[in-house]
Amino acid sequence: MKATNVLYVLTRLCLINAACFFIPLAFSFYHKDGQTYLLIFHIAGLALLGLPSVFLKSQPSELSIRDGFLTVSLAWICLATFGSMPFVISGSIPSFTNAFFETMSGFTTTGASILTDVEILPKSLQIWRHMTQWLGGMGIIALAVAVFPFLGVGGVQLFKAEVPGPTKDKISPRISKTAKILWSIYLLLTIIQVLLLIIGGLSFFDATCITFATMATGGFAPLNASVAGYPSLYIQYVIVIFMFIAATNFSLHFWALKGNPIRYFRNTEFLFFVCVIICAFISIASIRLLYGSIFSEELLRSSIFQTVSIISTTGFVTQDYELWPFATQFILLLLMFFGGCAGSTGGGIKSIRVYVLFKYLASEIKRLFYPRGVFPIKIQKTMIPENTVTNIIAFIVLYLLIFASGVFALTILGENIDTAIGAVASTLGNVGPGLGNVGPVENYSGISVTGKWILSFLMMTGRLEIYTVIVLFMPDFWR
Amino acid sequence: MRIIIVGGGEVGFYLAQRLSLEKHELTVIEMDIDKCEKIRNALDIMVIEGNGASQEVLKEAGIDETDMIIGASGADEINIFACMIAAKYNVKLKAARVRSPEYYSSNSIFKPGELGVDLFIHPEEEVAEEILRLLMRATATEIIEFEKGKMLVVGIKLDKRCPYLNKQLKEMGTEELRKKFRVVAILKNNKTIIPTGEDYINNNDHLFVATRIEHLTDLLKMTGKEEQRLDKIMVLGGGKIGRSVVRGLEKKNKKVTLIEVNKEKSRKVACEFEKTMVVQADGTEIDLLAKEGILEMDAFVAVTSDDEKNIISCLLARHLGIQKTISLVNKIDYMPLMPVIGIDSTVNVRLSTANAILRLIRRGHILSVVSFHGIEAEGIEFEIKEKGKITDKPLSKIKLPEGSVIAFIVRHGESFVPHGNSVIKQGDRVIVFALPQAVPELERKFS
Repeated sequence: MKATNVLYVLTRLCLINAACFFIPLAFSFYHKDGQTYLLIFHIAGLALLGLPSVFLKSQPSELSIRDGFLTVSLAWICLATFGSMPFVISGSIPSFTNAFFETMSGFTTTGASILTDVEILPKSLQIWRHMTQWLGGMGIIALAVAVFPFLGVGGVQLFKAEVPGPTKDKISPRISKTAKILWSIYLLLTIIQVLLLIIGGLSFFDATCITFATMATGGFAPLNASVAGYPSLYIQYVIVIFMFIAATNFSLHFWALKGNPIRYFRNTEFLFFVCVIICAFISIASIRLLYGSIFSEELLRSSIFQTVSIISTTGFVTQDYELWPFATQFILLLLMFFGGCAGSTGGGIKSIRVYVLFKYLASEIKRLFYPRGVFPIKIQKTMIPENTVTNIIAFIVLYLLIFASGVFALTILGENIDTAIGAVASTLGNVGPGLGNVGPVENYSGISVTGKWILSFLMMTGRLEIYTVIVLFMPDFWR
Repeated sequence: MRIIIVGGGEVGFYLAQRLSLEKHELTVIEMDIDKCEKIRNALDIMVIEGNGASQEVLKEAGIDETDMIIGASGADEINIFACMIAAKYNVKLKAARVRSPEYYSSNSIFKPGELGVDLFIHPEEEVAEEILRLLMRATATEIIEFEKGKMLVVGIKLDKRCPYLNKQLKEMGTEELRKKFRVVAILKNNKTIIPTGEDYINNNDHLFVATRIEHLTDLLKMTGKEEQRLDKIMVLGGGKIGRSVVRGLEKKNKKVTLIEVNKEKSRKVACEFEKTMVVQADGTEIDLLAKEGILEMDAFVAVTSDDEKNIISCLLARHLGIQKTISLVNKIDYMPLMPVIGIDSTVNVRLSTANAILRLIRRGHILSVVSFHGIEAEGIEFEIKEKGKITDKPLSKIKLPEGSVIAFIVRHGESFVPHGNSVIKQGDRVIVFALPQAVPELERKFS
């Protein structure tokens, strides 16, 4: 492991981070919210930290796999720390714990908030809060790989450690080009959604905030009431559609843009994902009807909105689902684990892993009555290698283990059981709203300081797909 | 350029490594899952698991947007078939590694072009030719010919006899002499550097020097070497390469002894060659070799299919006092070790194959290219079509990319080794030595 390599990438990230702050700066300038000087100082500070990498002549030699894990984990901690500074210094979120939690929640596209009133934030900081989500959605490391192609094979290691999904398909031979394509598609979809929302009557500011949070499957909203604050039918449906798009594998969008949309329907994971959404939607709607709700467009809309919002791990809210029957809440809890597709901006376990798990269980059961039968696990007609299958199973087990430990920790800190379960499932899956005291209309401000640090850690672990962070805790890693 | 390489074995891997350093977009198609994984972890390229002769797989690799395909797998048929499919997709350059000569020999039923292959690469022939070149100029560890053999780049390993050790390059020889040669690369402790006049030369350095063929003797004298003539040569291994080498040596009237361990094979070889002495023995049995006169030999060439045997027998030969040893080493991982353990020259089938393919890629404004064994630098030929920043200026004033040096300039068919005051003119061809990292910038500057 080489400290210089890691440092090199980290300082480069500071530069990118500094560049990103120009957008809040522009908003601050326009809205005259009094944060202009603070932001200028912050940019200057970050640029200063990033300068060494520009003058450093020796570029990093090969990044090893271990360098990759360490760099990415450290990078995310640094990002959340530097990103939370403006909140602390400006006094909008005076406590560092809270500011760190909020920023980590942003970068990991969780959308869990400690703010009881988001509307009083200065405009520039509000846009920054949404930008953290947007940057974290496609991945800031992926952005670095796209902008600084020098990383070469090292870039592959970093990319692998950050991009979600068990298999990382390249859509172009060079990793830097792959990252560039993904970011371009992301940007394009973002622009389309902003335009659609503005057509629907939102202000540019609100449209941008909502879009940043939707495309990243983040879930921060500029209003305290979340999306319920925009009762327009059109806007809610636009958001549903874009949450769905954001939770789909971006390489499928790439092929569609290249004139090959048929790939959507050949992709096993995508089809499975759509099936699960439809099933969950029908179950939720019918259970609600069964428990005495009156059939209306509103019921269907809130059901589909909540289903897509949770499964895509966005976490927008149009209705307080805690008032719904318990069975529907349980379905939503399951969807928090499920998550989006691999290679999307969604969190959770990922559709493909769940699919493989089911297939694996089925094949194991079939083997009981056909002991010599051969039951390969196939995706798009090709067999998944056995070690990929075991890796996926191990991932799911690890995910559940971390979930259980998280819940245990929170209950020790005195939270009640449904709050603990909701909060951990929600942060680990990067969803946002949970159950109990952290439900859709409450927020995380009531959690203890230790609890907030635990949840911040869970958010990062969940976003980096567990392995990247967990390996750092293995003594063998540091040998 | 987008390039598909069929086969991720050693040739394929080596090519992919070279080409990806030069910023080409590469896709490798490989059947073996483990090899796929190995390549994926080592290089920033796309790897597809599957058969390179399958239309589906090639389509997935994006054959319709590809500029070049290289059949580098171990199977002739897959390589040729991949090229045939590529031809249907109008891929511009198609190269195939083909072992069996019957596909492209003059009495093949296929006309040239019918198989869709632009360049057939015959690995064994390439290696045999290289061995012959090395035997003809024994003091050099390596010889690459340019301009039909008029200009050479020779590898010379320095030893204590060299009078210029621990001095800077610019202090070497007299003013007169310095105009005759140019050091284009130095292999120092297994690292390749492209030197400037300020660099020092030390004992055990491996110099690569560009010179005219008639100045070779001066050059050798200057480095403290004497030209040796090799007349008695022992060849170990009667396979394709071995026989090819013997054939070449017989034409030059050398006294050759060929050793082959297999009884049947040795008989066959004995029938094929009239003048050559064929011995049936194992290359590692010293007593036997001594009886067959290994002590009187001038050179020993080991070209069996077994790397370790080749290396060991060369070391034995060296131990018995033979001046010149050449070993065939196919594992590229072993290559850096060879100069360290004292084997003069190594040849490698895969490297020679890869060189032949690299030469094809450089077609265009870049005319030809060569790589050397054991060093990273390669020689590339550029044609200067237009006047520009680099023309009509003394070389010392031109800023070349770091890690590159001009070896020769060819003007109206006449070639010379340039010095600081030489000038490049429109219509010249220049041969540049460069490390792979410097190649993209060179291409921009020179074309």
